[in-house]
Amino acid sequence: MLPLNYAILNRYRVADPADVDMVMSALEPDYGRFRSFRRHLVIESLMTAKENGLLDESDYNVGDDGELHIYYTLTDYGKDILNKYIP
Amino acid sequence: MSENQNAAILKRKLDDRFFRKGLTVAILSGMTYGLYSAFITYAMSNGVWADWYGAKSGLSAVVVIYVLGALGSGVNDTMSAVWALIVAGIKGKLGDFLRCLKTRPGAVMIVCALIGGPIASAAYIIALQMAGSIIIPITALCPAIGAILGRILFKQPLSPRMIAGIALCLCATLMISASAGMSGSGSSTQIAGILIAFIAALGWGIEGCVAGFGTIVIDYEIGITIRQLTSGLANLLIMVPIMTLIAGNIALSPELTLTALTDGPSMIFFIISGFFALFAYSLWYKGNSMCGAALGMACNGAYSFWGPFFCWLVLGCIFGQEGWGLRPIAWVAAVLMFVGILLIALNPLTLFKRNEKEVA
Repeated sequence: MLPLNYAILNRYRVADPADVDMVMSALEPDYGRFRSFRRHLVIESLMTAKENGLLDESDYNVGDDGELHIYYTLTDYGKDILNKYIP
Repeated sequence: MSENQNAAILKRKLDDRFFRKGLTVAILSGMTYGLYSAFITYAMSNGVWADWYGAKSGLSAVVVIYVLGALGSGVNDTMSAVWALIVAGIKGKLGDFLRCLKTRPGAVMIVCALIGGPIASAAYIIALQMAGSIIIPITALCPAIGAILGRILFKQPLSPRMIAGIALCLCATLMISASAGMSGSGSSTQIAGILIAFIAALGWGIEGCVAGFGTIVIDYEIGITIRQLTSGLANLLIMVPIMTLIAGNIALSPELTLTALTDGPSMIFFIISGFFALFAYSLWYKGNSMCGAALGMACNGAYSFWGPFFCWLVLGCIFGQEGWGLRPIAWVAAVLMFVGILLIALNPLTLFKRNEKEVA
């Protein structure tokens, strides 16, 4: 089992682009009981990864739930980092 | 308002909130660094430490300067690691802490901790003991080193505007150093202390840049637990024995370590300094990962002001120790540093453009 932060980034290897809710619903079965598995914390993780060039924003919109949904995609640099650190 | 406009406004609010949080975290890291510096200095002047540093301690000069410096750093980081484990336990991150230890980013974190802990922190404490608070601004050269390494290793942006901001922060640092130098003795011990402080600057430059990047992958609270645990144990179990061996009496190592860890009057303040060290480093890592190494380290580097400031406030004003006064030039330098940080963080042209858009 990967640490939560690794799993969030690793999700983009299989589902790209994805927003926070897509990532969370995919990780829910394994990480749902984690105290740090919260929407605002996962958003912060994604924004940090974007700030450091691992992810890029591909689109954003306001969903039917009235929440902002930002879709991220893995950059080439992000792919290199994941291949190097999370084989 | 169309859906697109609404989404754009919400997105900008989120981006602004993220940026403000990163900046706040990075600035708080510098402030807690100042508090950690003040309390560790006080801890190392209390209880058995007062005897060790006293004229009748019977310890050689090498032991007093180098071994006690590493020991103080080790006790502080070990206390900080205990705090980090408590915080990780409360937040339910102990499982992830163990999982991270077995991964490559975990190993990178351990190497960073060894560079920033036993090497840089011990150099910092030794320099602080040898030359006083004059060395604090010198060690704050690490933002420049971190920003340059961030550019080379991780392709982080470093524009001429950001370089100008870093240069301004360095000028402010030199102003504080120069003012302290004028009031200092200028003895060979003080000069040696200043040189040792450069080792700390280099070590932290490497650590801040690499560990800041590591916390993109590793949760910052797990990162700091790895850092403090590695640093504390490496200092107490490796550095102190090596230094006592060099000083010619390895038997001193367990004796000094056990005495330090069981000395109530100083341990109370090590527990406090360890608490502030936890936030000084964890917020430094988090700030660097949220803002990039250049801005994160410049904000953290403001500890060159916060260090002498809290030494004056805590040691001078609260505990009544003499010699911690803050010269007026330090306040001027603090303002300069603030301008420098703003220059790294914000592009004035972007601000003007944004205002024009809002007016339109």
